[in-house]
Amino acid sequence: MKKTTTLYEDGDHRWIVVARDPERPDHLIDTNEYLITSAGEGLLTDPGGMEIFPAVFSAISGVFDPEKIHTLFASHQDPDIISSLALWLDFNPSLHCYLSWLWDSFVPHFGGNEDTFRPIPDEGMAIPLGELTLQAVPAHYLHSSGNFHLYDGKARILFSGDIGAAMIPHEEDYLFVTDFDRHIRYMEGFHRRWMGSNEAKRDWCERASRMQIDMLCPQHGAIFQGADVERFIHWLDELKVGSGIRG
Amino acid sequence: MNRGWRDAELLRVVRLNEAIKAVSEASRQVYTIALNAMFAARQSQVRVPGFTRVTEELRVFSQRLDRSVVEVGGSLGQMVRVGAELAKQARRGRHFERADTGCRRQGTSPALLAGVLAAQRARQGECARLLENLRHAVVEALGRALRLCGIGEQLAVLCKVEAQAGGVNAELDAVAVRLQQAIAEILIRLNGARALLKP
Repeated sequence: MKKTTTLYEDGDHRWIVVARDPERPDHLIDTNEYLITSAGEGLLTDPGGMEIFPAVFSAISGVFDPEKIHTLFASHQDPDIISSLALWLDFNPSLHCYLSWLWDSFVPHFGGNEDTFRPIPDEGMAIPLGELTLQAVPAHYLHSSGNFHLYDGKARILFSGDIGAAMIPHEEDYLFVTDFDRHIRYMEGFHRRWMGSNEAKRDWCERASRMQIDMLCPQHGAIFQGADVERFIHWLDELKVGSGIRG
Repeated sequence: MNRGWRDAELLRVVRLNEAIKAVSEASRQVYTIALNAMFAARQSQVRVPGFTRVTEELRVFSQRLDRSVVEVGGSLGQMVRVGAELAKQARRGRHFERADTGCRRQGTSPALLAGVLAAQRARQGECARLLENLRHAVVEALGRALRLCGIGEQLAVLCKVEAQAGGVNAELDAVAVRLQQAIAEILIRLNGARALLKP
């Protein structure tokens, strides 16, 4: 079963990461889900694939009532992001799922109907949650052509989807980046290959550098905190991506 | 059936569908052979009114058999759709059962997923009942097709008798033999299809 770790807490405003399942089969990529709560309501980012639904659901049930999760946020359309949608809807048919307008007729192949989806326009939008207003931040072409991150200005946390993702080996399964230089080896190849546009990457780095971010939380790998956030943005800005083009 | 739509069952329906397609093809062959036989009889020097009449009956047989086979094909199509739904529900059910086990380990109330699990089981039960009804409909339709084939067999024998009625006519005799062979092929396929439905 996955573990839950609280990243931020201010009253009932919380960020909880659901990560690191020791029972996860090796052929499934590891994922991080983030539960954001405010005023008794929950929003789950990139809830994951069908195969990991039991691990995610049961881990969450230990810290928060899953019936109070009314909103899902899908950074993009991949199966490891949102293929569990049908199961979440079986549990709560009135759930809403925010995702790029680009995918609002593709993702319904995983489940849902016309009432389920809240399409996000290219420029992003505000997403209400309890007493909070979260912001869907554009990150198109990083890696998906319709891609969003989710920013909580009060907690100063950015959920960054596949940006900042790393493939950390089992024996070094740390949740927080503590040695940035060493961590590069686990994320460099991923970013070079999965990210296709240097222009989009530059655009995102400029936008992110203007935001106040205490924690940058990717969907795979480890979380960046404090000075490592800025270090990461600079590192990414310098990185040449789109390695598959030369392949 | 409640344990889910297993791959082996889907494979069985696929094989059944192939057998039914072969029956349909053989039935069309009967129609074509019977039609050609009628033309051949008209062109022959020998008067064979009985032969011509039997070939007409064989064409009617072929059309009735084809309708019967279309009915089976429709039921098989529905079986695949319902079976796929059952497989989907069973898969979802397994995910929820695992989630339920995890929640209990967390000390969460068993009531949390009780409703979803009950609904999953009810949907699976409904699909299983539908599948059983469809299987029954296919068995019945195949039984009717087999009884029809009994008539077809008799017509083919009659055809051979009538071909010889006006004296030895090698061409009409050969046609009668081809009709017998085509109907025998249909019988083999239908019996094979029925055997596939046995539990």
